[in-house]
Amino acid sequence: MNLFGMPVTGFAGSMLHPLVTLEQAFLLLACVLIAGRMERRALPSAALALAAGLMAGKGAHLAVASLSAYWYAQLAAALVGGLAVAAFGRIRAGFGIALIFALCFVLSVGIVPEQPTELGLVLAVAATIASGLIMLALAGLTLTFVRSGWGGVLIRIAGAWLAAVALVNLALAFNPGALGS
Amino acid sequence: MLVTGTSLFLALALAATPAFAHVGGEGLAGGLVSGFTHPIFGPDHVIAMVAVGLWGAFLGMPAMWVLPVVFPLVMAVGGALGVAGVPIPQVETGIALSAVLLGLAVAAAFRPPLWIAALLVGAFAIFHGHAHGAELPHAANPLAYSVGFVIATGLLHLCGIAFGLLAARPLGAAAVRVAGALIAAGGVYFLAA
Repeated sequence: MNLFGMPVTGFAGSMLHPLVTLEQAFLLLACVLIAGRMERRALPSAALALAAGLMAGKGAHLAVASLSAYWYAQLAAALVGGLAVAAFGRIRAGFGIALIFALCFVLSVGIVPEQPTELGLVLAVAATIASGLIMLALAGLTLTFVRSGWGGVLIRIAGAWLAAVALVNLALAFNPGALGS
Repeated sequence: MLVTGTSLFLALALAATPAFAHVGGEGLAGGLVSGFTHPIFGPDHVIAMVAVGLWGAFLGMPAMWVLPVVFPLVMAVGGALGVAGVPIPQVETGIALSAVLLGLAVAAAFRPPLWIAALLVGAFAIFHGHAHGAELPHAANPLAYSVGFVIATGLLHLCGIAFGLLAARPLGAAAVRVAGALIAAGGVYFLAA
């Protein structure tokens, strides 16, 4: 990982990793948009769901290694997240928290540590949690202040964009023969 | 402070480039740029996208958000068909026709029920999506490419919406309808070309 030409490794590099890996960035964006459409007082629960989802997902991945085969699940999850944001003006806390947990569960399967050690894995997951929580705290909280009709429109459009990108790339995932044609 | 913090965090993320082990930064940026410019450099796409936003603003809420939400979603379906190699006849004709009909809808101040407007917009979105989707497999980075063309499409919608908000003013309503007529004329030109 490079930042302004300088190498960034370790925990900081792992924090930036989900933001520059498009599938993971989509999922984090979906979580932020969903949280932004929930009641502000539900944000701490959303944060817990984010962390719990990431840890549970990576735990499940360690137990069932074949989960990696379903790499397109990240795109499918982003599609669901985007559709939820586009479809609902406001999102109920329970539904939103469950969705954030599920999205992060899927995201965590794609977390790859810099060092293939137990400590490396723990740091990678912790860094992703940190990234997600920062995004939630900054962007998610900001969005909860968006009460105007216009703001709601833009957020729904963003959800539609997210779902559209995910859908098109899912098609590509199921048509690998199309690549290079 | 929240907005500043968010912006700073995102700026840092955007400034970071992935390691060589991943898809290279050039591929990511190249895919994003080529996807973004695909609809921008297609004048037939541009006028139709603007027409969607224009018509949505003209119809008012909730069409103002329904149409720009429906369009990319259905466009993605068209894109998926394009990726899958499913042929859709007369794609370019459909794209040009979308400009003609949407432009005419604005020019004629056509105010159908919301579901009809969404259906019309969705039907044309298939053609636009198919045209973009057919290019997707050739892109350096398909994921970034798709992000690029969806964002460009959405921004064109927003341009149309912004102009369409003039409809609330007396002279603005006329200006919006004239814009619709010009879009329709552009569509006719592309049909004939």
